[in-house]
Amino acid sequence: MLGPGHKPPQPDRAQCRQFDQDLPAYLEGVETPAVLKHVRECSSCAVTLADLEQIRFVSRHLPLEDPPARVWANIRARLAEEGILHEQVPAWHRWFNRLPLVSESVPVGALAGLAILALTLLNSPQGFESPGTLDALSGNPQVVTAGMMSADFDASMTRTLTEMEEAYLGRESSMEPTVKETYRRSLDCLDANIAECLRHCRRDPRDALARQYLSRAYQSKAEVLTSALEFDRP
Amino acid sequence: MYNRRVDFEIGQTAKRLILRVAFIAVAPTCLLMAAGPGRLEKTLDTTGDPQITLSNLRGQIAVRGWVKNQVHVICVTASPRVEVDVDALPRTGQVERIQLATHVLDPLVTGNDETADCALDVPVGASLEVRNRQGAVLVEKLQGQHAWIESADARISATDVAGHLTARSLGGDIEFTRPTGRADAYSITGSIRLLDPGSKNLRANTNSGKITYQGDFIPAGEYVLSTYSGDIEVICPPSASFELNAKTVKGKLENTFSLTHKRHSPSPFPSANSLFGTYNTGNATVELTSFSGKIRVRPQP
Repeated sequence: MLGPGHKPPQPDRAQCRQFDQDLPAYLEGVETPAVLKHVRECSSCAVTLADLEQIRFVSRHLPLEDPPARVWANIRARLAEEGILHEQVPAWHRWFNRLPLVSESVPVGALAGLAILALTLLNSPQGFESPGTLDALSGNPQVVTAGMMSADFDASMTRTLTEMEEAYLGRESSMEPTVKETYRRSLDCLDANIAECLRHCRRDPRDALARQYLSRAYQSKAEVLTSALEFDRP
Repeated sequence: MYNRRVDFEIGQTAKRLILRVAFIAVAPTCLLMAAGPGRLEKTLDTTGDPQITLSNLRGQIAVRGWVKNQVHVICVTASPRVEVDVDALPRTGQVERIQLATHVLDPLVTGNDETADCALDVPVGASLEVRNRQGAVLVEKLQGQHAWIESADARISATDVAGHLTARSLGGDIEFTRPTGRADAYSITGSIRLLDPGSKNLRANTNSGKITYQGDFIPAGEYVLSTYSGDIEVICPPSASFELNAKTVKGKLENTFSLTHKRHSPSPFPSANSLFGTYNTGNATVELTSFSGKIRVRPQP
């Protein structure tokens, strides 16, 4: 027992920083005696470790949740920054097209994530957003052709978005009128964009810019629906 | 007679008991309802670069950077049945992470009663993530790694932010003033205003809203502005130096700078109206695209 006025020895910050470094390995199951020794001396780190252990325990029993849309956006930005995105496009595209998109067993969130990811990946390669790509595009018509999506893809995308929208409509009643109105206005705007782009692309299938806009409208709609579906999650 | 009197007294006692029980049960609720708005004020000692997350349902949010290594929070809730949780880690010493979250304690609380207005003073080096479903968000003077702001239909305003700035609002307008780090603004129906940017990497995208860019371009900077039906207006000084790459599917292009046109092979966008050229030495890259919106590039008067 500690007497009155007795303070437990407080480790310096260097030990706490070392603890922070060792912690991931410890939580992965690596034997790190320094971690256990430190938590006996440092109440703050002991609390941190206890919290993490509790989180780990509780999270084992949680249902799997889909990450929010911003996570995809961050991943996308990071991949684009590192130049990785371009290399993965064909593989993801093929993988995406093989998925049973409208299967009822697939959670809506996963559908949303996949839709956003697929569209992001389709939207990004050799796109007009990257500076200097236009010259490359003009010298390589095959790239433009590859950027154009098929009618099958449009149909598949429409089905996926319809599934998501049905799920959204099921939850729409729980939204506040003003928020619901905002989502409705955005979705109506995007629906109008998609319809106009589709009409334009049917008239002029070689218009890569219109195709890019169509792809972007699909992507935006998937993002808006994802955001709406996250809205009333507990 | 006796029995009737006893019955009467028992009845009176029972009535008094019922009234007392009812009073005890109802009074706290009435007091709670009469309590009016709640208020939270807290000051936390932090590191110079804490990570701050704020999740709010409705209300005005203002976050300002200051030179102190402290976070000062003031939140006012419209109803005492709405609370703002403040979670700080580590629990002793300088705080590195702060999470503020609004919770509605009573599911019957809706609409304006959900409101929590929050004002935060944070270290200039703080990183920030704000999610506010409804209500304006104002961020000022931050130099942390990132500032992420998301809203359903609120106006987002960020001034003098130096880190990676991201703002997303479905229906609200977005305004960036003097951003100097990477800046991304996304909206569906809201307009985007970019004033005196000092960013080398700036992207803005809205569907039906308008994009206004007002200021110079940084050498080697990349500026990508895109709308669907909204107009894009770029107003920059005559001394600006940029390479312009503007195209639209159905909109109009209007440029009053005298560009040196690039020689290039036929456009891969057959129906697009496009404009490519260099102004001065073409230090920065400016890409402007729209589906049906008008694109206008002009010098500052």
